[in-house]
Amino acid sequence: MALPNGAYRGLLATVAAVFVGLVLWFVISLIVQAKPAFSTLGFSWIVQKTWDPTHGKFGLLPFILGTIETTAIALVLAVPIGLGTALALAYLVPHRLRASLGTAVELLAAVPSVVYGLWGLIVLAPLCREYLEPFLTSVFGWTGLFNGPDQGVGLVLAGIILFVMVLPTMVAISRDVLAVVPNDQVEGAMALGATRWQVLRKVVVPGARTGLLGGLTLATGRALGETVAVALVIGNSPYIAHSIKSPAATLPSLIVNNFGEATGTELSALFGAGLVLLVIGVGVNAMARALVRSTARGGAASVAVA
Amino acid sequence: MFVLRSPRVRRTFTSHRYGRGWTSNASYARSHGPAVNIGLEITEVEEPVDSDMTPQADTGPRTRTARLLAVALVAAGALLAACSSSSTPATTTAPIGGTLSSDNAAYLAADLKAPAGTLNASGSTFVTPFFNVAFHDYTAKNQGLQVNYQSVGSGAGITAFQAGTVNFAASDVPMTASDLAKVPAASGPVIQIPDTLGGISVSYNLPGVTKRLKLDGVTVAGIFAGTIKTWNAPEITALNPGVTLPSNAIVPEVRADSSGTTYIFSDYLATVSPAWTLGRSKTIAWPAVAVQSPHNSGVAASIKSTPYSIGYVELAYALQNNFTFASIKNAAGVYVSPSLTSVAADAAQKVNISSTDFSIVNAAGAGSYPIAGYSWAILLQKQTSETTGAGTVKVLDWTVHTGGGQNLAAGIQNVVLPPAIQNQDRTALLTVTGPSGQALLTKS
Repeated sequence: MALPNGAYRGLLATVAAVFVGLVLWFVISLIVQAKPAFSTLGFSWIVQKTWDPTHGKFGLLPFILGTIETTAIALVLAVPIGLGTALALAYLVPHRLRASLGTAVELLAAVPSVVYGLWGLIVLAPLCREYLEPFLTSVFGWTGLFNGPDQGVGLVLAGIILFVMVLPTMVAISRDVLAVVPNDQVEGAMALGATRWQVLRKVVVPGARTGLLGGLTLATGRALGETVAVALVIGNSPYIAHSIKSPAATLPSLIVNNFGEATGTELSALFGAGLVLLVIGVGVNAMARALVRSTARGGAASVAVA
Repeated sequence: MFVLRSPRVRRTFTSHRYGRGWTSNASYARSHGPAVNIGLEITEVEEPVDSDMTPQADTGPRTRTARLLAVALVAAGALLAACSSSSTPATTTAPIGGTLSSDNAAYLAADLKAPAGTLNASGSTFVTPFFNVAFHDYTAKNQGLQVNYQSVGSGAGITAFQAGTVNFAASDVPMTASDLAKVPAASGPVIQIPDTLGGISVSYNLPGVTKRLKLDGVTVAGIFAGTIKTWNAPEITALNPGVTLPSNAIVPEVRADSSGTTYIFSDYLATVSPAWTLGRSKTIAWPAVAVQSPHNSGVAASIKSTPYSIGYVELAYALQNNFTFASIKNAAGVYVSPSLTSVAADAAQKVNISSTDFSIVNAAGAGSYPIAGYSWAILLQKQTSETTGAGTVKVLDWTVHTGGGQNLAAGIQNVVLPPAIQNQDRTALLTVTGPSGQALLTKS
């Protein structure tokens, strides 16, 4: 290809401009659609507690909290289990098993979210109500976070479903970044007499931490934005949950449940909810970038991912 | 095993894996980004839930339900053939819901001769199963006119109608005055006609109780308002002497999405219970104890998997899932179970309805099941095209009449429109004109 340099530059600039234009267009149209809600209700409605479209109340606080709580539950489970699985896949599992296990992980990532939601509602919800919630209440009841009846659907189950859904993302990315930690460093550490555990903890994980953070960011993004599966298992109660077992709702579940019939201010408020979700997503990304920057500065060997 | 390998071998392996990992991650980042693919995901929800249903375990109510269903189907057929009164304990003289006009067949024959083309319509998800079979059958018989019905929800259907992007819309609640104000004035008046009739069951999952529960409107309102909290509350036991009810907490199961089903249910509760303060609306601010699930199918699945729950689901879903549902005390003081017959009996009590006076809940008559309502088709009185205009009125006329689409209703457990309502629909459709003022609905 004997194109002049200028032509390449022009081509790349055009492609990049299309992308930037799309993002801008998307954000601006979201703002335009949400604007009527802001002009009727001001700004305070975002942090108000009551969602009651019939009486013109569109408080988003319960949904913002629900989104953050379900994501937090999912990540508390996914970080140790995902990292552990990835370490095992990259360093412990016999070589010939790795390919099939890796395929299994990617297969899980390809399952449509609605299928996870149905599985959660039909299979996990009864198990959660009969076994998990009574168990959690008996062990952690003293914290006061597990009051109320065992219902199956609710924050716990939504968090678990999100955990199952983000796990493949975590494992696939973590495994890949762990595996590209330079072998020289691993061998060097072994040669210095480090145990396997020390090598993993002091060389492999620190070496891959920017990549691991990248995986965590993607997983968080998926958990924040997951819609249908959560809507099926969270109980969709538009109140601030007083217990981890309570039914709750998230911003995406609010949008998907109400979009079909919404008109006027309610529709606009739903776009506002989308905007808030976007802001949360951007916030998480910014935090992750800051973390990556700070760890990259202090880190030994780091792999650039994200 | 911690195996150290030669760097060359491992690099090949990892770079391959690395590439694959990114491909799959990028692809789900694309398809699961927040808020981008809402439209797509909504349509995914409903069907798999249905196909995944398994019959309930306790056989007592199931066989009874099956028998009831059989009776209902036979009775619905009898109702059609004879246009006679309902078959449930006929102690009072229930009006028969009218007689079909004698020239019905002549109109239906002409309806099938609509000009070929494609009609676009959108709206209610509730009416979708019926529209699907009815339009499919119409197209097969007419050979050329297709109806492209988008099941996007009543609100979205009304929005599309206001924007003039559809030939007709469908909504579970008629357009209100403020909805109508958003239709461009140049478009002229709007016609709204009932297209289907639905009943709403109060279904429950109550382990250990095999006898069908009896409930009245005030009690149902108390349960869903959260003021009646346990199954053995005095309000419930008083209505069910001889039934041992557990002391477990009641879990009310309600719709998370805005829905015509919720409108009809809350319309009923607001009509019969002075204590009901949550209003009548497509969305209700339910008490915190309620578990909310999207769509009839979601509520149905949640009831099925939650012992001690009670919820309101559209009759067809309750019948298809073999749910145990309560008998509800009607205006005549009789406890009636929901069925195609008892819902038709309720609707037959009110033979004159309009888009501003359409509530049929709690109708008189010993055989009436009191929680029922219509879904509506919406079109412009002055059509902008003679071809699609004729297609629209003919398809709708065929769909809402016995001998046409209504013959397919019972097959999917929908209630047939009372003959008086069918006649009323035709009267309304006869007023629809083409661009030059000529009537579009004709008889052969």
